Amino acid sequence: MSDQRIQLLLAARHGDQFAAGALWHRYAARLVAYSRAILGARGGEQDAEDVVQSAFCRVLAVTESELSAVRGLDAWLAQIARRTSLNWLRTNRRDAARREHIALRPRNNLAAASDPDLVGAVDGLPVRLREVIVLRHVGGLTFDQIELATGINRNTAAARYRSAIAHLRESLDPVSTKLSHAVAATPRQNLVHHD
Amino acid sequence: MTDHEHRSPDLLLELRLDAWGAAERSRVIEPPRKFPGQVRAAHPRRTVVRVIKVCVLAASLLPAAYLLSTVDLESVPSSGREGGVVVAASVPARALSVGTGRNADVEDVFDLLDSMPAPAPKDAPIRAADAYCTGCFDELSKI
Repeated sequence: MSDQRIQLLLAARHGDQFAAGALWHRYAARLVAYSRAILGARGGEQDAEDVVQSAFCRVLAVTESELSAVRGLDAWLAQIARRTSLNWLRTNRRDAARREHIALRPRNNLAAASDPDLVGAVDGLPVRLREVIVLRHVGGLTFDQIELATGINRNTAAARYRSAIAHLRESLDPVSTKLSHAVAATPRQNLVHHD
Repeated sequence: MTDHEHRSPDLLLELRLDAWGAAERSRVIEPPRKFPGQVRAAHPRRTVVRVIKVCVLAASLLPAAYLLSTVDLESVPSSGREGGVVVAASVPARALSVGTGRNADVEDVFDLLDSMPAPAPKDAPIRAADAYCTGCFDELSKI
């Protein structure tokens, strides 16, 4: 428990509002991105922020014994954000399904994104793949930490990651992807010149 | 399989994803206005906790204190002068417990006990002849 971030969390738990604010500024953005990845089209930006706020309140209410069992703060926070997002989906199932069906909600942060093509492609991934991509690149977690956060095996997480990358490559650059597939599928003997 | 092996085939795409991730992380999301208040509510200061505990204790003792203040001690039955002998509990036949005041005379206790009806004699032991009719008892005796 010598980690400085854990100390920050402990101080926040004891009512230190400066520590709570620092914790929020450090983790809120990545957790909002993660929550948004789980909520997908069924939740908006505001919903993701609400979920993260609830997750933070839950974090501040954990007991000392629960905290002592935490192996990595980043993965643990992602785990709590994941649970809170899934609970939100469960409790708002009907409303979320209606939103997804009507699809009135504009894409999350497409307008503000520096790379809208990439963000659109990531948004188009299935949730199980998008989750791994966001945890890896926004959360900065390793596959071992992703295993802690999501409960899926690290090898499964790695496989999902590879699959997500393949999906992204295909949706971002379909022409070159098809060409590379075609080259890969070409029988080797056809490429060899016979004199 | 190492992370490096994952990164090598699609390096450009992954660099792009890293840049997107860094941009996402650097987004400023203002904490909701309720947030500091919720932190305070989740973990109030120790003095506040103490004050709340004292208030709860006082509130729980208040009804008992009120009831005690309304009890009319003069109405407790007494056997004559103040501080005398008081029968605290009884059944119609006899006193179960007797209390004495600070100024009570021991003779008053004996007087009180003497004035009570004598306890009923203990029942005689049940005999077999009482439990069975005569005919049955005769049969049982033969056995």
